[in-house]
Amino acid sequence: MSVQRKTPGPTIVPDQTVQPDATDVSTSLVALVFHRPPWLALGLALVAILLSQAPDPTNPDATGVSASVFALPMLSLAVVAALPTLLRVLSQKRALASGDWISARVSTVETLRSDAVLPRHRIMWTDPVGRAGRSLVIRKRWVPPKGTTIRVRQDPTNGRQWWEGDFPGIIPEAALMGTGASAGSTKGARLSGAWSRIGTWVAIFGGVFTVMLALSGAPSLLTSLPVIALLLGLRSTVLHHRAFDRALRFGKRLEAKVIRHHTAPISRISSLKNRRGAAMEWETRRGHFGETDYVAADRVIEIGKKITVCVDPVKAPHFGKTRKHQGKGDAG
Amino acid sequence: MSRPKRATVPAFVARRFALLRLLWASRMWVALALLAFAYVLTFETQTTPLYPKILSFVGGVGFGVWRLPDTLSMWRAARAGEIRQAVVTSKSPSLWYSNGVPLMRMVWRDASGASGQSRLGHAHRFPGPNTKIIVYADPKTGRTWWEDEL
Repeated sequence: MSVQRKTPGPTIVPDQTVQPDATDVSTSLVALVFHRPPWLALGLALVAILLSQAPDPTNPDATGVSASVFALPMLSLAVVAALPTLLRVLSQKRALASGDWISARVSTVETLRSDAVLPRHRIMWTDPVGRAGRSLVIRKRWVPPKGTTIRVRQDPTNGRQWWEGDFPGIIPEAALMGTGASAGSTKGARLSGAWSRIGTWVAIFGGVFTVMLALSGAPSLLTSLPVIALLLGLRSTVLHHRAFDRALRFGKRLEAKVIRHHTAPISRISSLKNRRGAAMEWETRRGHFGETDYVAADRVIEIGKKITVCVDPVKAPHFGKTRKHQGKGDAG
Repeated sequence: MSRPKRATVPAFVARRFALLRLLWASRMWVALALLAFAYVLTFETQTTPLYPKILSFVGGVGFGVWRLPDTLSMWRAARAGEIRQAVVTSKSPSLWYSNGVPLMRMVWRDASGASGQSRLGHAHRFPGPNTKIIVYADPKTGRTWWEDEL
């Protein structure tokens, strides 16, 4: 392993492959909204729905009114809370639809809540004209430092600029430059961690319920529900497998760092010595991040160690390429 | 072979006038909120004592009078002001602190040679010296306002 690392990799020929641009990446409304989910608005809407279901007082000598009268005010609060997200999404759509990338320089890194364990940051940039822009709050450890050249897009109607890290699923140009070309092995893509994906299990249980309902003579309308679940789950699994295959075959490699493990909550009965599998959350130097599938304990890379990530060239998602015993001890 | 798109220098787009942003930046919204609160309090004539009404009304009027010159200046600058490029020269300290951290003002010098100051803030919230910024000049007084705070 150490010998492999010291030998120079394959010759890098930059700029010859198609890079994911804003026009290539699916920036649907849902993806844009849920890049920074409006949790407050969603919560308020849920409360409004619950309030609207509150029963009317049936007791004849009851005083006051039903809690359902608060449903409409709560809904209006939810709309107000969703307004910033709505404006952001519209502006980002305009910025993506027109114009081109603008290179800007990070002028400051704002620190919000500096006393927190994991402080949140926001970068501020200046483009060649002098227009200043602010990013969304970056809840990550790696932030583009001051002086970095970044790419932004400008909304033509109000001149507001958006950093590429504020768009879902866009890979930063500078992070792609100079990364090695991929070898074309699809050895790891046999099942692509399909067992750890929820879609697979939805498909399996959908099939099981379909069989059970069909055998028990349930009405066909009821039987069609698990069939739908089966089809949706299968679709999700197949699409993920195809993307995984593409990423491994001709995807770009990114160097990232494991920043967090998401482990299963049960530790005692699943394995000895607390050696659990985990889904690894990673980040590139430019602050783009993602999460791998759940992998077994012997494939888990420690927090802070390097992880190689393959980028699916067609759609955006990245896949962690876990290597056995990588990052354990002083292997490199 | 398709090459990646290079980043380009953008065409300048003047920021549209936005009333809400101006009210926020000039802090005139505080005065408006106080006055609105005073107005709401007038409906509870029986139970509410008089002093909250007086306090919020006088406070709102006072705050509004205090912020009015700056608000009008920002309004004129945003509506009909000259747009200039400026360069950040320094940060000037102030007497104000926030949690033990001194608050600063950003100082710039624009293309016509006039200098201006931003509002108070933490030092890391402002771009560093020699950064290009865009300022709008008030046609009446000549005072310049940073586009980010307009």
